[in-house]
Amino acid sequence: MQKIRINSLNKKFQNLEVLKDFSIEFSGDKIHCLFGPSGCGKTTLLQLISGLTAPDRGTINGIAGRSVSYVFQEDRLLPWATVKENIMFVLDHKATNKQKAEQISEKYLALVGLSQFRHYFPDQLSGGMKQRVAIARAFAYQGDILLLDEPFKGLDYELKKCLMDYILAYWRRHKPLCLFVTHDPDEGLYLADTIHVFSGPPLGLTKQLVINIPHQERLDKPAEIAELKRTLLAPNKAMTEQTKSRC
Amino acid sequence: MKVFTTANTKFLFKNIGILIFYLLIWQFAYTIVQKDLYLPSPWQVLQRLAELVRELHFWQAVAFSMYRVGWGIALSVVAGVVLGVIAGWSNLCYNLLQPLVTAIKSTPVISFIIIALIWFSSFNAPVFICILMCFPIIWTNIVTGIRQVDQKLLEMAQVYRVKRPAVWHRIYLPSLLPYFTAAVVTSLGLGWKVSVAAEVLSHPQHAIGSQLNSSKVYMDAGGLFAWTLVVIFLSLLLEKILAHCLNKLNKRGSGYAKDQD
Repeated sequence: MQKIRINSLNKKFQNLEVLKDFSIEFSGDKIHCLFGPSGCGKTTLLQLISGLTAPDRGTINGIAGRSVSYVFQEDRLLPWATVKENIMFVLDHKATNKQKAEQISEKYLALVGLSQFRHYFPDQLSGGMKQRVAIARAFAYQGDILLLDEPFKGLDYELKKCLMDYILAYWRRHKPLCLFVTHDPDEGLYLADTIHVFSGPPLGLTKQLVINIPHQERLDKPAEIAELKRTLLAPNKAMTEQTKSRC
Repeated sequence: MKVFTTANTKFLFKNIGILIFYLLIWQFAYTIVQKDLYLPSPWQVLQRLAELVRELHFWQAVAFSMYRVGWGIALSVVAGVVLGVIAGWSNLCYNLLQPLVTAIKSTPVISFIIIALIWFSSFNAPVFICILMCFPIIWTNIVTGIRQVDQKLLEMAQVYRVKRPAVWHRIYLPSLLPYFTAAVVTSLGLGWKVSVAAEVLSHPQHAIGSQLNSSKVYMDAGGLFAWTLVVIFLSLLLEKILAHCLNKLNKRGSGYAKDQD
C-alpha cells in the first residue's frame, strides 16, 4: 500500500496560518492517530488529504487516483433518506448495479448492527446510531484511504469500544491507510499503530509514538498501555509553551 | 377510526358555527344600513349566486379566469425555477436579476395593469400581470433554497465522488422542495387576486373580473358580492388542491411517506 507524503504544505484561513511548511509521512496499511488539542489544524489536514480543500502551497503525494472514505465530525446523513438509502447514495457509481449496491449496504449495516433499522430516517435514530450509519457508509464505499475525524465524539464508553472494534475488524480485512483524529488518548492507544502528537496552530509535530502491541492484546496489557499513555501525555517543551499561550 | 370520525365532525361543527356567526353579523349590519345598494343581505347574495350558476356565461367566466391564472402560475413556475437555479449558481446572473426582481416587487400593480393594457390583448393582459406578481416570489425562494443547501452534505457527496445527477436528485431537490412549495402556494393566492383585478380593467370577453365590472356598471350589488364569494371560494379550492398535490410531492421527494418497519 502506497504511503502519503506531505511536503511543506501551507494553508491559511483569513489571517490564521493553520499549516506552515508542514511535512509528514504516513505509511500505508497502518492506523495513524492524529492526536492534539482542538483547533490545532488536524481537521484541516484531513480536508487537504481528502481534496475538499486545496493547499495554498506544497504538495501531497500518494492521494492521486485513490478513493477516500471520510467519517466527518458530524454524521452528514441525508435527512430525507433512509439509513439504507444513505449508504446506497455513495455506492452510486462504484457498484455496477442496484442489486450489488443493496448487497454491500446490507453487509455493512449488519457489521455495525443496524440491519433492523434500514428503513429508518436519521431523525428517528440516536446520535450514536447515526454515527454508526456514517461509519457503515465509509466502510461500504471501501475507500483506499479511510479518514476519521473524531468519530466517537460524545459517545459513551461501551459504544465507543464497540465502534472501535468495528473499525479494527474492517481495517484488518481491507487494510486501507487509516488516519484518525482524536483528542482522547485512550482511543489512540486502543486503535493506532502510530500516534502522531501535534500542537498548533500552525500545525506542528511534537512527538511520534509507535505502538508495537497487536490490537487484540492491548486490553490484556494494561501496564504497558499505561506506560505508553504516560509517554504520550508527558509534557513536552513545545507543547507546554503552546498550552501556556492558550490559557 | 371512530375517534378520527368524531374529531372530524367536531371540526365541521366548529366551522359551521363560525360561518353562522359571521352571517349573523352580516345580517345585523344589513338591518342597520338598510340600503341594498350599499350592502345586500346574505340571502339576496345567495339568491343572486343561485341565478348566476344557472347561466352558461358564469361557467365560461370561471373557466377562462382559471385558465388564465393557470397559465400565469405555470409560466412563473417555469421561469422562476430555471432562472432561480441559474442565479443560485452564478453570482453574475444573480446580480443581473436581483435589481429587476426588486423593481418588479416595488412597482404598484396598477402601473403594470395599465402597461399590460397597452401592450397585450385583453385576454393576455391578466396572464402577464399574474406572471409579474408570481415570478419574483418563486425566483426569490428558489435562490434562497439553493443558497441554503447544506454545504456539509455537498462536501460529503464530493468526497464520495457522487455523480452530478444523483447530487441534484438526492441533495438539491429535497432541500429545494419546501421553498418551492411555499412559493407556489403564496403565488397562487396572490396570482388569483391580481388576475381578477387585471380582468376588471382589461375586461376580456369571458372573465370573472369582467363580470365584477359589469356588476359595478349596472349597480348590481348582489352580483358584486356573489362574484366576490366565487373568487374567494375558488381561491380556497385551488389552494387546497395545490397544497394536496404538493404535499404528495413533498412526501415522495423526502421519502417520509414510506412505512417504517
